[in-house]
Amino acid sequence: MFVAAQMTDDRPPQPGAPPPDLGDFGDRLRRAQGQNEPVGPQETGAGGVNAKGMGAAFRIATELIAALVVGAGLGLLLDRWLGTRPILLLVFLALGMASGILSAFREAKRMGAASE
Amino acid sequence: MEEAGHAEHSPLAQFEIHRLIPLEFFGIDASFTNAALFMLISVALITWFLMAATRGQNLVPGRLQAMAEASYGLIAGAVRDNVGTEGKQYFPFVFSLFMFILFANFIGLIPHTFTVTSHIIVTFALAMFIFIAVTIIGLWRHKLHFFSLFLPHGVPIFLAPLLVPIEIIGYLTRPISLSVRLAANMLAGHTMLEVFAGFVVALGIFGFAPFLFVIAIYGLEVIVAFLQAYVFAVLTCLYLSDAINLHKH
Amino acid sequence: MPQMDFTTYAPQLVWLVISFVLLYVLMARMALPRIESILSMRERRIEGDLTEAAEMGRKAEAAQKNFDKVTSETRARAQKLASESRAAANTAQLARMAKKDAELAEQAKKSDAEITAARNKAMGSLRDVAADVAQAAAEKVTGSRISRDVALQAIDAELKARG
Repeated sequence: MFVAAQMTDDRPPQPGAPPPDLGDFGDRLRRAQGQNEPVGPQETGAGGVNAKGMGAAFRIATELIAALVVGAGLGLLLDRWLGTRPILLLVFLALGMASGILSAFREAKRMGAASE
Repeated sequence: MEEAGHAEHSPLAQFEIHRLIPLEFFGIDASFTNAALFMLISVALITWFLMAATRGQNLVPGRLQAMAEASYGLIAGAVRDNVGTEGKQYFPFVFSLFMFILFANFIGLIPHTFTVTSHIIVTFALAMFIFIAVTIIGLWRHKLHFFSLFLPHGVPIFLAPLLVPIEIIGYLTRPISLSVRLAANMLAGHTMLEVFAGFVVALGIFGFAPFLFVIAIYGLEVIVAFLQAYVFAVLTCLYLSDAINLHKH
Repeated sequence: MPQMDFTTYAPQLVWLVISFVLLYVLMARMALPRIESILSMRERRIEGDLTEAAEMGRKAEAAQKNFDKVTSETRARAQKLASESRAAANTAQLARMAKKDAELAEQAKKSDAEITAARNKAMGSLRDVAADVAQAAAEKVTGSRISRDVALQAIDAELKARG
C-alpha cells in the first residue's frame, strides 16, 4: 500500500492534466530562505547539562573567595602604604565580601537568564 | 593519570612537572617539560583536527567537518551575542583560547596524560593576559570615560564611595576567579578520577561498584571539560564587551 | 602540591607563550580562513539555489499566467466566431426572407393588376351587352331605335350613380 501510494505521488503530470499548483511553492521557498540565515544565538547553547548545577555552586564559591582574597590583598597593600594597619585590611575585607556577593548575585542572575 | 595502585603514589602525582629537556635562555628556566609537550600536542591536534576536517571543503559536511564548523559557530555566536559586531577582530583570539583550553582539558582525560589547564599558573597567565588586554582596549577606546565602568548607572552619588571600591575589587577579581575556576575544576575532577580509579585497582574483583562510579565521573568530567572551556571563552567575551560597550552585564 | 612549585612557573610560562602564539597564528592564518571560506561558499551556494528557485517559481507563474491568457483569449475568439457566424446566418436568413417577401409582393401586385384588368375587361363587355340590351329594349318599348352612343352614355351615368 505504502509503495503504491508513493508511486502515485511520484507520477509525472499527465500531458492533458492542469498545470501543477504553484500555490505552496512560494511558502516553501520562503521557509527555505529563512533557514539560510546565519547561525543564530539559539544554536550556540552549551546544551542542557545536569552538571550545570554543581558547576554553578562551585563558580559562586570561587567568586566569593576570590573577591575576599583581592579585598584582603588591596587592604594589606594600602595599609602598608599609608601605615594604617589593620584598619584598611578590615575595611577591604568587608568590601571584598560585598563585591563577592554582588558578583555571585550577578552570576546567578546571568545563569538564570541563560537557562530561560 | 598515573598508575594509582602504589601506596606511595599520590593522586596528585599526575600533576607533577618533569623537565624533559633542560634549557635556559638569558637566565630564564625555559626547560622543555611534560607541560610544554602537552601544550604543543594540543596545538598540533587542534591544527590537525581543523585542517583535516576542512580538507574536502565539502558543501555538505561530513562528521569531522561538521564538528569543526560547530566549534566555529559556537565561538562566533558567543562573540557576536556578547560583544557584537565590534568583537569580530577578537574572534581568532577567543577561538584559539577556547580550542586550547578544550583540547588541553580533553587530552588530560586520557589516562597517563598531563592536564595543562590543571596548573593555576597556566590559567592565571591566560586570565591575566585577557585582563590586561581588555583593560588596555577599554582605556584606549574610551580614555578616562572607561572608569565609568566602576560606577553603575542610576546609583545615587553618595553611594559612590562604597560602590566604586566594590566594583574595583570585582574588576580585579576577574583574572583570579577566571583562572581559579578552570584550574580548580580540572584539578578536582582529575584527582577524583585518580582516587576512585585507585579504589578500583585496590579492590580488585570488588572494584565493580567504584568502577561504575569512575565511569559516571568520567562522563561528568567530559562535560565539565567542555563547559569550562566554553565558560572561559564566554567570560572573555563578556569582559571584552565591557571594555568595548562599557555597559554592565 | 605540584601546582605550588614556583620553580616550574618559568618554563610553563615560556612554553605557554610559545605554543599559544603558535596556535593563534595557525588559527588566524590557516584554519579559520578555511572554515570561513567553506561557510561563505555554502551560504552563497544556498543563496544562489534559493534565488534560482525563486526565479524558476517566477517563470512558472509567468508560464501559468500566459497559459491562462492564451486559454481565455482562445475561448473569447471562439465565442466571437460563434456569435459572428450566428449573426451572419441571421442576416442571410433575413435577406432571404426579405427577397421572398418582395417576390411575394410583386406577385401579389401582378395578380392584382391581372384581376383589375380582367374586371375592367369584364366591365367593358358588360357595358357593351348593356348597351345592346338597352337599344333592343328601347326599340321594343318605343319602337324607335336609339343610337348606340346615347345608350352607352346612359349606362355610364347609371354605373357612376351606383358606384
